[in-house]
Amino acid sequence: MFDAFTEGLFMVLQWKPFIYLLIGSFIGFWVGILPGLGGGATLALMIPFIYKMTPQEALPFLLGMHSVVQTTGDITSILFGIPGESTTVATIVDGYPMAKKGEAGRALGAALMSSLVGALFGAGFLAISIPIVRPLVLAFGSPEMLMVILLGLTCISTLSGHGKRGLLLGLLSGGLGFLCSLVGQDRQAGILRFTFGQLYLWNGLQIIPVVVGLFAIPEVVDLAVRGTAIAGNVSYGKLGKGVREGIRDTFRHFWLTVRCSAIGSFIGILPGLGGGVAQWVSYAHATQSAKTVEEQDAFGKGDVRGVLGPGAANNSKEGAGLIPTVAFGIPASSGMAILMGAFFLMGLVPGPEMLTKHLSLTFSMVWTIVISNIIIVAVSLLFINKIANMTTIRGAILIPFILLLAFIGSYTANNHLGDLVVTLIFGGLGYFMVRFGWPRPPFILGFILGKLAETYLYTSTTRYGAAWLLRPKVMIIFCIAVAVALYPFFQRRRLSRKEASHEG
Amino acid sequence: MKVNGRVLMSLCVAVVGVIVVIMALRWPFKTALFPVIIAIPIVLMAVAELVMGLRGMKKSGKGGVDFKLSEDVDPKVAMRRTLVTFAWIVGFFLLIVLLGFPIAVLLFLFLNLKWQAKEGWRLTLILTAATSVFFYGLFIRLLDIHFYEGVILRALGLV
Repeated sequence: MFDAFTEGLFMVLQWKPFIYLLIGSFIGFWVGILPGLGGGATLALMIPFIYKMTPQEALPFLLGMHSVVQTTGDITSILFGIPGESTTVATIVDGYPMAKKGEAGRALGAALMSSLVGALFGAGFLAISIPIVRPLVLAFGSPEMLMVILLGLTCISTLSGHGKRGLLLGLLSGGLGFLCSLVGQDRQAGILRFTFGQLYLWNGLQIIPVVVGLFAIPEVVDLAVRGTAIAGNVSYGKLGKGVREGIRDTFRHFWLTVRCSAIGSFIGILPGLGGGVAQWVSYAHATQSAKTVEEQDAFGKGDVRGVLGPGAANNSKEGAGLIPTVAFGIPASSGMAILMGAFFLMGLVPGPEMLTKHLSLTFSMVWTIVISNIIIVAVSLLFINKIANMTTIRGAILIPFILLLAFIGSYTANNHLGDLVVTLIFGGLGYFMVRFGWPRPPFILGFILGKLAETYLYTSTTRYGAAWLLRPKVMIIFCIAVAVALYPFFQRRRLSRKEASHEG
Repeated sequence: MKVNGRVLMSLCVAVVGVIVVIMALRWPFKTALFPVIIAIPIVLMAVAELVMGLRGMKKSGKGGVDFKLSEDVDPKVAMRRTLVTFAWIVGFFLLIVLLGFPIAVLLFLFLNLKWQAKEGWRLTLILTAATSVFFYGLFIRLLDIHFYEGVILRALGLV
């Protein structure tokens, strides 16, 4: 085992695989920064280039690219409030307000360092957990997966404001996201739902135009309303100074970063859930680390812990996502499904062989994730001052470029004008949601998971009838969801009582 | 009784929920199961939110973790700037529909930088040219993305 582990390292460090790793990481760097250019789609675009490569060269190239996309995706989310990737939306919630307060450097430092910690955690998780995880993944059937989705939605709904009305708005928003995910041809009977005679809607609404509209348009409007730079009136050159502080924040809240990495890894190994859920559940967990009511209220307004949580989880899920893909041939996400396609092209069959005959190659994947993330974080930190100072550019100059990126990003989802219409509609919806205090994160989670939840519900009902509700694991996860929903009420009461006793 | 934007939004969501349930009644069981299970609680929750809104109940606590619109700008100025920004966004979309992506990108950047951002000719021309080259090089040449050509160019038979 140890021999295979070191052999994997030397495999990556050979000059040809290492050059391919650098090329892949470089591409991944830009793919992450540019909104709309998704890691999965780029992975698919790169597949034709691996035909003449050996597996030892192709895997560092593909995985090096795929594993750094989330890291640099955080940069766009923090600086401009546009998600660089659909899996870096949660970073906006606290990262962008930090940039607006002139703390872009600190937010970037925290995001990059937590991403690195997350990536290393995920890679370590991949290295040690294959034998442990196998029974866990196989024990989760459709009913349990459905309950995990509900748990994710409950987690995020508790963030939607305090009190019963806040929870109600969160659940309503999540439900609305579920409803929007229904658009298109249903998977069970092929019936068209809410397509209004439009061929474009047959495949349903795509995540990128929806997310870009919902998040980018309100932020652009607000930037125009303020009439200043993103970082307000903070002068050029002062933003990069917080980078060290951001890096220190990662270690100051190290256990939070590790816990969020663990959350990301756990969700990463569950097929179908991926980064969309991991980022929000870890964000929810980060908000629960608040020790006072004031601290709790600071989330959403620029608390660095809101950057650390999703930053770590996004990256840790990448390594973990390889576990079911490599070990069982069950891709954990669309990106992993494409990667699995590449495995077959290279003549590799996911399954027990990858853990015996090709074990050193499997470990080379672990090392690829580690090395590519270290390189990209180091390069990003090197140029972070320049990157952070982009937030001091006058808003009026930035707005057309942000809009351009948003429109191009949306359009590349289907290369169809309908993508732009969807962006405009969801931009309007996003604006009204922000204006009237409806939280957007539960909407996105509901939207991402709607189709999957429907499939799990249908499979559970047809296979077990109503009896699936009484399965022990389902009941346990349901109880956890109820506890998660109630926890903020108890936490707030406990914190208020604690503060009252301090004042008394 | 207090009717405001939030109340209207709850009303809209409740109506959408009811429409989903009504439409789902025409679908077979396996197609209707999930929409109905989701839409019914949505209608109930939206009505509850509507009632709370009409009674003038405030959201307890200091709100949730999401982006907040700036409140330190005069509301009239804020409204005017909001409408102008939305007009530019819709205008960009219309430019794309009429003239196609490549020309619309060039025109939008130039017009926005010159008239909205009130930049000088030099910076406007440099930024427009540099972005157009980047757009053409990366998205059209390198990534080979097929961009919409626009109604006018199609009608004139230029594409």
